[in-house]
Amino acid sequence: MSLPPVAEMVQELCGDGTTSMEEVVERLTVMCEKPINLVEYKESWGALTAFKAEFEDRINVYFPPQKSQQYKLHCIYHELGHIYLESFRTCLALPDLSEEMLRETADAISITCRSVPNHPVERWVEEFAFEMSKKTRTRSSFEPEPFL
Amino acid sequence: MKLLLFALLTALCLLRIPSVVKAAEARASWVASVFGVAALYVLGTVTPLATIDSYLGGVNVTNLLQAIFALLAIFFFNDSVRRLANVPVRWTYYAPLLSIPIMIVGFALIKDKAPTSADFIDSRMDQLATATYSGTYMLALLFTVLRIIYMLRHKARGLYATFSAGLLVVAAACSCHITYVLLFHFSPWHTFAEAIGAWFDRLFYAGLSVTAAGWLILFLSKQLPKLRLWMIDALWLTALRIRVNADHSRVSPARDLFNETLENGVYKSLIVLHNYQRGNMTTFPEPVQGRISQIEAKLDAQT
Repeated sequence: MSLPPVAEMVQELCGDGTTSMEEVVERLTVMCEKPINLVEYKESWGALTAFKAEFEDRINVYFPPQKSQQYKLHCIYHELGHIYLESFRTCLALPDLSEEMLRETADAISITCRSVPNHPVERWVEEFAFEMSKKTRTRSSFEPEPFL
Repeated sequence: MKLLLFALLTALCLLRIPSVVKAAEARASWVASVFGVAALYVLGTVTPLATIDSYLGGVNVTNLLQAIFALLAIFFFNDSVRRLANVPVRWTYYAPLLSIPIMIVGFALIKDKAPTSADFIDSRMDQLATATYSGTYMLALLFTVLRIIYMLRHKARGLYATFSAGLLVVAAACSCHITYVLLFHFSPWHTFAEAIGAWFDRLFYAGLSVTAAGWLILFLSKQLPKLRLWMIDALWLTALRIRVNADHSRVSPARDLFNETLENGVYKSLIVLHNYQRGNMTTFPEPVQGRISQIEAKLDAQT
């Protein structure tokens, strides 16, 4: 599986300079042609950090309340990375539960699943989240510093 | 003055090694400083000129090497200024490098190149080949230096102003040498030409020393506060990652420490440690958690 270089894709999404989560969500909304909602969900999360659910008319990113603002943003960027990756390379994205599987489990009380650990897509979106953090944590202008 | 410049450039070369490993954009200016050190070395600044030249045949090849190294140093410095000023690359960008083959041919055509001498150029200025070699070298330097000054025109504030100030002096030195070459070779005023040419050495190394000193102060003034702010935290978080085996690899934490800037390294370590706690549904003991929160607050304050 060959995935595009993260730095290039971040550059394509955000351009030069700094950005904010609002701007990133706006751009992804245009790309996906669906509104993206960030939903803080206060129930028990266990070992999960965040997840996204795509509906006919919207995409919801669910995340737990976190004491650490940095970690909360990172988890959201991770999910936004999935949305971004799927928007241009569906075949390379991590397989979702198929429509049939969703229908089959519609009444289930709980669903557990096993995915391949350390999957390239997971590594890609994690790196995407790191790159996004650099773009959003930089305070002012994003000037090159070739003499430092 | 040469020794001072050698010391400044050596300090920049050594102190900037971590930056060069972490940031690709820092590499061109580092290569410039390495070529600067090499140019000063073959000039006999540290090891006697006769000793170095004897290894190269004793025919003043050191002079040619010094010229090529100095030109490459200025060229790579110019590349970093181009990045700083966000100037696109045009065909003229590589033009100064075209002078290197002309210099080599000019040098090869100089008659009676032995013995080794610090006055190699001056004592052979009556030859057209020497004038071509030396004149081409100086024109290429002057062109590059003037282009740097022009690119810096909107950036020359604070310590970057010392770059422009120093390079203006270097441009004056190059102009003196070009005037000397032209007057000596194409006019009867040899004494006047030599009087102008004598200013080259004083101005050239003084100008470069001002630029190098400004660069070193710029580097220290920006990097030392970052080191003080993040170094201990970065090391502590890396040690914690290794101790709890948060990455399933002992190499990753160390790699992040060397590959990322200190602040980004701290951020990455915090995320990895949060992932570890979440994935294992565990929490660190209160003192450890307290320190992590303190570091996070510091990171938040920087954003």
